[in-house]
Amino acid sequence: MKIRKNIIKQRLKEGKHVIAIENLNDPNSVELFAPNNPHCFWFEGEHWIADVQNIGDLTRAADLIEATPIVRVPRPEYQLIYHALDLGAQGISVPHVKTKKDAELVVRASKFAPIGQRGMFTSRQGIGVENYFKEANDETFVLVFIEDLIALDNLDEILEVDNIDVFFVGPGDLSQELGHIGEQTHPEVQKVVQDTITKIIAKGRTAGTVASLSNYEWAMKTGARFFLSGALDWIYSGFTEFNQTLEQL
Amino acid sequence: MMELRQNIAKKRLYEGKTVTCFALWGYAGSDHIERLAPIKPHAIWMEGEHGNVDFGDLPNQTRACDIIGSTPILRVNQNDQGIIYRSLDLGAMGIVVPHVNNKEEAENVVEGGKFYPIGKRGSFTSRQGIGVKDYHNLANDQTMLIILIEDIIAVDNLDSILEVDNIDVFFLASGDLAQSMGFPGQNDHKEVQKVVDESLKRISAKGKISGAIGNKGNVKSLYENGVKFYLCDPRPYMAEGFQKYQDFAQKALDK
Repeated sequence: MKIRKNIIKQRLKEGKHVIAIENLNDPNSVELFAPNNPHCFWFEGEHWIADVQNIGDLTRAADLIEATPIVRVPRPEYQLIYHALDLGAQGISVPHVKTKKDAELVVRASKFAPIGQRGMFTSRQGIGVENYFKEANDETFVLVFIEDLIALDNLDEILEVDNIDVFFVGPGDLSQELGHIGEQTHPEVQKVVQDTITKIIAKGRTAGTVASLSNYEWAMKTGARFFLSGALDWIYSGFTEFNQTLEQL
Repeated sequence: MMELRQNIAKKRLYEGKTVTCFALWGYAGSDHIERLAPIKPHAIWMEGEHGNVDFGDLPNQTRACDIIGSTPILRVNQNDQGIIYRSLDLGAMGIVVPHVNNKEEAENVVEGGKFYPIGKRGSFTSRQGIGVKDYHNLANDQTMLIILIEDIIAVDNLDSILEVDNIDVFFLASGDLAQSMGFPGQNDHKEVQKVVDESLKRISAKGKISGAIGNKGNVKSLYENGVKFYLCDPRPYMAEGFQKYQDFAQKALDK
């Protein structure tokens, strides 16, 4: 068997955007999204219900409809990262990467030798795949969150670390440290997000950030090409619109 | 003692108000349900006729509905009294029964869904009755029964079906109706829509409440035909939102 291709790595390489869909951490809901041709699902293990019990089922559903499954792990920790990959994630997202050392740890945990030292185990993605350990690195997507002021101070060094596909600027946690808690679209927060994305791109790296209904046009003009977007945003908006239409009758 | 939880959807219907019910189609599970709190659907439809919701899921999912103040409704898989009251026992406050085709079948729903003296629902204290004094005398008022009119034979029998009391919503489901009329998959077929419209009017004319799947396109026509209970499918909302972002990103970014 051939290893499953990582669709979002391919898309980014071709210069295309990626929209990672969050809020659908249910395998049936993932499969039902198929007609929309999604490229990526984001399963939330830092703040929500993705865990060792459901990553297998969630990632299988995404694989079947040919969307790349990403899991956000709770923290930059060696075993947590490769365990999520072992269970079927094709991409790993790591919050609160603050230093070059943190970023190096993420790569060491996500990639087998010679790039890293990911724990040796055949992932769901490797079942029956010949030469899995040699091919896995190419199909493993790695994303780190830049979401602390200290990470901004260390950004130049962090950006020196190879084998990270996306540097994701997290407006939520930054808004907290910048004194505008929860105001992701506050001008000062947006300025920091924009400046950080500009620095990431200037080094030839790929940037990501949040695209919500209130800011997606802005976010898609920052230079970032990877976006985290919520299904809930769309549901809230569609349901509210229906109710308003009904109330006006 | 504790008060019996009010059936918000049912209360609204009998006040002459409309109800919007969120279908857990393509967005499901108890932790997902709770995140619907900001849009506060009057009711939430768990899918047990075609979907994966089963008895074991009901307590957690109905608790999630209860905590955000939405009435938990389950569509069951068959018109069976045991299935109906076990679903109520586990926390559902409304039951939707598919393929009710004649008066006897409608009466079966009421018999399974209501305690004495209206019916003969098995005697047991539901999740909704924990700590409620006099639960067995109060439960019927807060229990909502919905039947699906979705076969052409049911349309033929509609007048006698409408004679059955204690059915809160007569729900026109065009998918199966289309199939039974020889137009599988063609819910929007002119002849199907004609039968739907006429049936909705017949329900209103008898002073009963009707329901249907509502969307931006059909809401005006449904409303004019007297529909009070609107089932909302979130999949088109998600499809539209995703498409909007993707179109914008393709223009702004893709090489």
